[in-house]
Amino acid sequence: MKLSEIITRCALEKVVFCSDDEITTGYCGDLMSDVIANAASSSIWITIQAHKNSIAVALIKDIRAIIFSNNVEINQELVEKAREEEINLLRSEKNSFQISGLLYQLLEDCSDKD
Amino acid sequence: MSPTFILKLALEKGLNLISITDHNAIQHSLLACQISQKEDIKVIPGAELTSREEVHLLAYFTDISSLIELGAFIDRLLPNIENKPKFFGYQVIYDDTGEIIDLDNRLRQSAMNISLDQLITEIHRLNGMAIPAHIDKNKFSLISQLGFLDQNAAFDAVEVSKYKWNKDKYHLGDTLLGFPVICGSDSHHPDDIGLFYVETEHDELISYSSLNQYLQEKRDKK
Repeated sequence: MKLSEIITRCALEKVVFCSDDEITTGYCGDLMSDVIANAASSSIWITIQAHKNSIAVALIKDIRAIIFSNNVEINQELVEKAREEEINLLRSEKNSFQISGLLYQLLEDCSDKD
Repeated sequence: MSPTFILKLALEKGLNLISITDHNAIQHSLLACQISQKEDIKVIPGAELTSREEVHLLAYFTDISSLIELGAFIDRLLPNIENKPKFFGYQVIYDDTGEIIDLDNRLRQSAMNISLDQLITEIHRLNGMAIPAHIDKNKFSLISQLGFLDQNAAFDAVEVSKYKWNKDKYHLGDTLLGFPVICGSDSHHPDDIGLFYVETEHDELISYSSLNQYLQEKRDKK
């Protein structure tokens, strides 16, 4: 599913939107060591860990977009780093459980159609 | 463990410089500093803080007034959640004779509502050293929480576990990615005290200011 469609259907706030990538799966986690070990490529990552290291983790794992849940505060340094490295940053007032549920349903339905 | 008891054991083991760094708490570090003035041992005022990312960060200071300021800062930013002794144990407060005089009912295990980077800035504002704790451990460490050590971070040094220190044969003055490496005993039990310590041939390093200066020099070399 295209990222733009996910953004619309999950009502996500666009913090940095730089490329409308194809998203095939997702991962949810706040320990970056765990995300590095387990996240899949071409994925979307849901986390509350709004630290600039998240951009490097996304690059390492070919994660195309990060959703910051719980409306966490995102500092300017993180935003600039995301622009520089072309990682999409999104935000939601929903918590990680709620977004994961929504997104799982969306991506499952999408793969059923294929 | 009461500060009095810790100092007694540390003296018996022949340690020259120690620091008590409780989780998001300063009382016992303060008390240890006060008691040590009458003893032949130096104590660096300090605490082990938890940032919003749940990274444990050691903060060391040159004087107790900075630690007291840090204490007020912790009080503002640590969530006001009551301790559950059944799970976390009683958080007892000792006096200088080693008697329990009070209970701290605020849960010290939780995280302060401040980012790691802002916390470093705050420690530096108080002229302290900001050092991520046990970075090689798989819980509450810089690596477990944030994935890797950023060479541009503002840390004054990094602390490794005693297991890594021994395994990698570190010495005081060695660096890791440009950061001087230090190590503490991380004693949580009386038996731990004195089992691990860092040695130096330079007696002058046995003080906060010269140790700080020494680490800064190593840090600048990268």
